[in-house]
Amino acid sequence: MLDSKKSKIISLVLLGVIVVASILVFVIPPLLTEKFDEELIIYNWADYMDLTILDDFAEYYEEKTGKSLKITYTNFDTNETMLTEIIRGDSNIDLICPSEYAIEKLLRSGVLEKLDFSVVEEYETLFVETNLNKDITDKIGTVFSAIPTPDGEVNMNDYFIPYMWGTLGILYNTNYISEEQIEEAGWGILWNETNIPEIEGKILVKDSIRDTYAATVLYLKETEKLPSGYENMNIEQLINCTDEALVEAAEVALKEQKKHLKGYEVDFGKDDMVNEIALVDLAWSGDAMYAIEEAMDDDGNSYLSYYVPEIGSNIWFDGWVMPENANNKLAAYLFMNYLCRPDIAMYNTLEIGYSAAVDNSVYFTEDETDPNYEYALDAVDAWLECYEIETVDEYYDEFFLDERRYPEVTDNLGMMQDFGDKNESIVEMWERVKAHGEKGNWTLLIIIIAVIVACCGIAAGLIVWKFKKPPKARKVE
Amino acid sequence: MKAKISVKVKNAFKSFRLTRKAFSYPYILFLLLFVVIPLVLVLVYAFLDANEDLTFRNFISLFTDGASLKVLLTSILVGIITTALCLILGYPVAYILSKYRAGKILVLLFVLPMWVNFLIRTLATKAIFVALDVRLGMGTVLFGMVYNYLPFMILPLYTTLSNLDRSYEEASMDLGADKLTTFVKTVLPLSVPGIISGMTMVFIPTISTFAISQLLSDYTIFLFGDSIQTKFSNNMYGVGSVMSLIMIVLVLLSNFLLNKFNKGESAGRNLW
Repeated sequence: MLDSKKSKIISLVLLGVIVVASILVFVIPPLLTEKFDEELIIYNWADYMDLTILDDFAEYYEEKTGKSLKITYTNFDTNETMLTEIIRGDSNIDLICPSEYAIEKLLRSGVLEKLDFSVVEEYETLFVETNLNKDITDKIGTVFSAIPTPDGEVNMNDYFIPYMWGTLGILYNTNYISEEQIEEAGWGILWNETNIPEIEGKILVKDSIRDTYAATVLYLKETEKLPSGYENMNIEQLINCTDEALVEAAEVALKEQKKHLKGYEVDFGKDDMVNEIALVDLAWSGDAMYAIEEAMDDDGNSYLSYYVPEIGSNIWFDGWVMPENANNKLAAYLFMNYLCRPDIAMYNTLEIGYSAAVDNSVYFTEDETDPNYEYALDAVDAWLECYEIETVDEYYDEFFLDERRYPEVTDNLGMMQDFGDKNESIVEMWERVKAHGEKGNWTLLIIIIAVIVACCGIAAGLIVWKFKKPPKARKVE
Repeated sequence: MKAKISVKVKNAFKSFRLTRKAFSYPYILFLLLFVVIPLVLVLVYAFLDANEDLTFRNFISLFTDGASLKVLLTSILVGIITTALCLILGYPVAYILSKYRAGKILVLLFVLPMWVNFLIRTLATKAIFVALDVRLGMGTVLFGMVYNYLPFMILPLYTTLSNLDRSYEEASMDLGADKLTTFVKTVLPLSVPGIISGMTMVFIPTISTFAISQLLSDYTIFLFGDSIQTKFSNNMYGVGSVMSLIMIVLVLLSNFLLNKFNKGESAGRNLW
């Protein structure tokens, strides 16, 4: 039992510790940090940028405007996390990099600033105007031409700058699946439609309803299983169609698919493919290219490959948007412009494996008066160095003309819009699919239970056998 | 001189009115901010639709949706099976350990894996299954659950069993019962409080887990926790909150039932 004096001493010491700790935590750090004139807060996907360019940009900004800049770089893991934070919260963020449908959602809720790069002209050439891939911006301009916002219908192109883009396709292991086989199967490979015994139970699909839904309706079209009335829709209409009949047909197909799958993946698909734990994976082009390079031997041959089925696919993009309440709009504009500079775009492409939405011709401009010229030389140097090659010609065709990396934007590649009000019913459909069947490994369970029961039986038997001999010492006469 | 100082110090202490109660304030504040307010928010969101208008649609849509109820049933089933397996495995271990003097150290060995982060443990389990070429599914999920929650069963059982007064056993034997009868008639009934708290410790977390089921089944086993997570990550706060409420009710209910069962059994002291 402590006497009251002792307990008071202990109390005081504890209180002292708390006070000291809170001083250490709350007072010291602000004193130690450097003072900056301005701050830029960037909110991006994890692993989605070459982080060295952040410091470079801070230097660049100081050089252009004379003000020191502190860049706060934070990450989100899903569009939904980001949307919740931006739409429901009142966080001060200057730049965000969401996917197409999330940009659409942000626009609908009216939190985005209409972009006007005229403030940049004073400091720098407008790379945003000349360098972006026109095929993509044109397509975005038509697909997302009339998004309803609180201030009327707007074109998405006025509100964002594309950053990275690519396709949805199939990453597969060439040791088990030949090129002919995958061309024959198309999206059906995810259902093991051509019955390749090796891949049964080794197929991964994204745990992302939007991507999986797109793949499923395309599979239905490919195998002519579409409900009547939908046969004549083009790819874009089809992947954006959320009619009940089509969703139902997709649900049936997805439930049917489940028995062929290894499982659904969120972020381990690349690793499982590289380690050959899975042999087929529904993947985005950038992830696929990353995995292919990971699986490459010294001669440049890879046992992984990426295929976009003939029938068509989804073309996706991520882009930079600025919330209306951004604090440092000038820095945000300069940063978006900076990302369109050929060297910066190339650094990002090389670092993360996705294709920057910058037109490939800007890397190879030969016009010395072009403001891109110097930067383009740097970009090409970085590219040569990354692939350890001497001349551009050696690898140009394999890289820049690679359809997997830079697909031709045709009508077969549709862009996917937000599901809008239908989102809820599609999520519910996805849950039904995931709860379906419980493809369990019941055999293993039965073995485990059998082993346990056997152990218990033996233990019980032993106990009974041992206890049957009554203890001598305690015998009462 | 010395005496004067000590008197002064004494007075200073006397006037200082920092009671022990004061040290609970930070925790009470923490509790309010991070437990009570979120719970109230869950309750509020359960009655709001997407436009934040009052509605009962969330409840209706959940209870008319067969899939959700099926998921709930599966989760409860998984919880029951896990608890049963843990009890079958844990009781003999706790019983044997309580018989040895070195039991305390051996118990430490059982608790040791708990000090490794459970996510790392689960990922490692997955890696082992993959290396052994075991197909991931319900069996592997149950294995992971039992592996993760077994210590929670062993610990309370061990505490109860090792605190049992041995004279009960001796008395029973003195009256002529053999060892099996002694075990069934004295040890087992007296250890009921330990069994109950062990079951609570295992059953309640298992019905709400989602990480273990996701990782050890490649997302093919879909439990109630997974369903709630999907709802929230897709901005369906209303239905997600209703499901969380169901979860809370389930937890309270199982706690209540187990406590009811436990009533009057105050013989064993219980750790948790």
